[in-house]
Amino acid sequence: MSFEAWTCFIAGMQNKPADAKGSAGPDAAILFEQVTRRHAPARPPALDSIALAIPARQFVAIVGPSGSGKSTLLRMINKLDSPDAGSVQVENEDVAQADAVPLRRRIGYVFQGVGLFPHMTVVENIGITPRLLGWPADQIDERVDELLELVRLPPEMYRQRMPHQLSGGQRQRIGVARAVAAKPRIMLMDEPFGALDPITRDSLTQDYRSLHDSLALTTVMVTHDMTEALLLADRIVVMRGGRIVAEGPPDKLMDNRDPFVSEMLETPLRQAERLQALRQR
Amino acid sequence: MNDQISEAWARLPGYLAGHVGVSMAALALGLAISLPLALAAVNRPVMRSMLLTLAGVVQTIPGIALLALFYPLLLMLSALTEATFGKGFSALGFLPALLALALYAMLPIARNTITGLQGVDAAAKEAAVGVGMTRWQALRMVELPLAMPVIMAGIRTAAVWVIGTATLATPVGQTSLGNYIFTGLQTQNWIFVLFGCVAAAVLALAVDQLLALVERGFRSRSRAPIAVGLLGLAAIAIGALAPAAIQPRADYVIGAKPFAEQYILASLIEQRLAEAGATTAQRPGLGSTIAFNALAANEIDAYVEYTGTLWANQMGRTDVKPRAEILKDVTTWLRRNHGIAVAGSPGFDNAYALAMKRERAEALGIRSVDDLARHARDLSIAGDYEFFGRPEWQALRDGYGLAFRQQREMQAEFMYPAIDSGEVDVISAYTSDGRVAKYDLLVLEEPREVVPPYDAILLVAPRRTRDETLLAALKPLNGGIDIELMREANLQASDGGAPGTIASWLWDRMNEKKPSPETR
Repeated sequence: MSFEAWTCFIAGMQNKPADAKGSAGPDAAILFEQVTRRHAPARPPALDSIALAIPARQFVAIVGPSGSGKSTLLRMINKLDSPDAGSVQVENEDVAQADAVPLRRRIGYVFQGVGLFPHMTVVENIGITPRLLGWPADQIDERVDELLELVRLPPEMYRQRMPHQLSGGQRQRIGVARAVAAKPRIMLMDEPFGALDPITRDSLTQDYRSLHDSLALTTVMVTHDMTEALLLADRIVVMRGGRIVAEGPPDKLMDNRDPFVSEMLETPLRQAERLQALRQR
Repeated sequence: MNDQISEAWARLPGYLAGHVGVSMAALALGLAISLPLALAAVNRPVMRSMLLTLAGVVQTIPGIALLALFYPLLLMLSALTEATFGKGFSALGFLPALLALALYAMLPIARNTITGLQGVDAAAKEAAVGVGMTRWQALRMVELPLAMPVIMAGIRTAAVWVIGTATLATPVGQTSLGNYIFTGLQTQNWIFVLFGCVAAAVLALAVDQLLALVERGFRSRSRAPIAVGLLGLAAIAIGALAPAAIQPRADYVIGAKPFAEQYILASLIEQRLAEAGATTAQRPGLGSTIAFNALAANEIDAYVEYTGTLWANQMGRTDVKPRAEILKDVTTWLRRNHGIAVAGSPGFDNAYALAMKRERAEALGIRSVDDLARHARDLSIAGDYEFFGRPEWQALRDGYGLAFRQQREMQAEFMYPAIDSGEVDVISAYTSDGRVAKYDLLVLEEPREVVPPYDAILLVAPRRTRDETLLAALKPLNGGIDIELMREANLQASDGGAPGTIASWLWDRMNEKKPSPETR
């Protein structure tokens, strides 16, 4: 996406696809029902009676300031955290009843730290979940090459590299490849591109969005960057103090009158307008 | 000197095998214990601090004390298993050394394992869980490999400590490079002491460098240094252990307490057995009680003991009887209570006595302990570490009313130079010690006979009491060595002679004297 298109998009939102399956339904890929989580009894809850349904193939961005509970919410989907009250369901299975290990193997997970295993090559890193699932070695190799192509890193150049021989952007691409290696239907992303420079970040987010579409994934992405959310997601969930204060497709969110939400939306818009003004001078 | 060096080289294969064997086993056991403990403790703060505190406390116990502590402990356990299952085990040598050294290895391994695991990058740990590893898979595939360089550094420290401390395993009966050091210290054979120190240091350095190579391999994630390091370690292990493994087990094991006379007599017995075509091994440097228990348990086949030692230490007697009666009582007691046979007495005694520099004694008009008691207030006395705790000293002190100005404990080797330089006035001496003559000391008369006699006797293990070869080998020693001859032999040892050489010399002298055997 060019800079021009980008500013234009921020201002107007007219080329954003409308939310197709925004409403909650029994067949939601991920379903939160009255989920409450307290890290410490004395402190206010990290999550307070959250209800949220995410349909299959939707790209949902969870936006909010630090400490709003967005990461806690995400980590409940692959059982890295558990609710004190309420339930979380993934593909109609109660997470509380599910065995965490197989659950995590069928959910892709990318986070800001990336967490590539520093003692493993690129091939070993990407192939880890298939290996844990007991795929045959030749099938893993084939899959790794396919994924390297997918994240646009030539396999013959990158297969045998160690993580410390990669740039930040390349590492994050490998991180994404590793997360989708075992063909998950659900992807969880926690500030995945936060540590990257703007240009790398832009190209990566674009690439990821097309991956989401082509692989028919359900993606839940946590970010504190409203612009990124507006540009990428089908639906935005705004959180504050452990509660959902607003949610909806980007264009609908624009109409929200909640002062906190408008404040969050105002900032990128104001910046876009100022950039536009600079360009026209 | 060349003589000593060649004798040192000749003993190297046996000592090195013992040293490498016990060190490797201790390191392996230390790893097997502390690695799982550290893994279990890494995320449990209470257990973690308990483990590290405990391992730290063990580290503060001096090596020699830790080794010595295990002997009575194992002896009790062995008695217990014998009572319960009808079968005991050897509390001597390998086992106490193994356990004590394994304990020593624990601290660096446990500490580094915990530090290493705690230092693993949080992102890698989160990713391990995130990609769906079980707790065990995360540990095996991610955390342990990443902590490996730090863990290896701990293993390296442990290896060097264990190899160093293994030299102290000699007194509990484990053959090690420490045999050079203990034998050398007792016989003033500095070549042996130096040889033992250098050999242990070279071994420790070699192992350290090879483990450093392995550590570097883990750090740089390259296989070649790891392989080279491990191959080098395997080569050391095979090189040290194979010759001893090929060598058949010795037919007879002769014990020796840690002083020159014992080494000479043990060598003499070995030479007689070798002459009869038997193979032998020596367990040198055993403490009194350890030697006796080892003989009673058939772990050694023979050694030279002294009647007074058994009378006071083993039989717990405080009274004193005439020489012949004590020998008779001791012999009966040994046979009845332990099935041990007395195969004769060489004919000298090695009693505890008080000795003074002759000219100083003459100047003060001291000839007996009675005379000494009158001057004791102005004089200082030195004894070896054992002396002041022994009933003989109590008997002397109480029997003659001895009260010295100063009482000092020192290694026997340093008592003689100390009395020679006038640093102390009286020392506890042994009657058969060659240095009594060398330093012109006067052994004070003991008219009240409060100290029991210490006649040397040849003890034979219960299972060997009818062993023709052993009895025949011991026979010429019976009545064959008088006090002057033994003193002369001991003096040669204190001048740095090798026990084996002195034993041959002694044998020649014994045969010269044969026509008129001298006994007292």
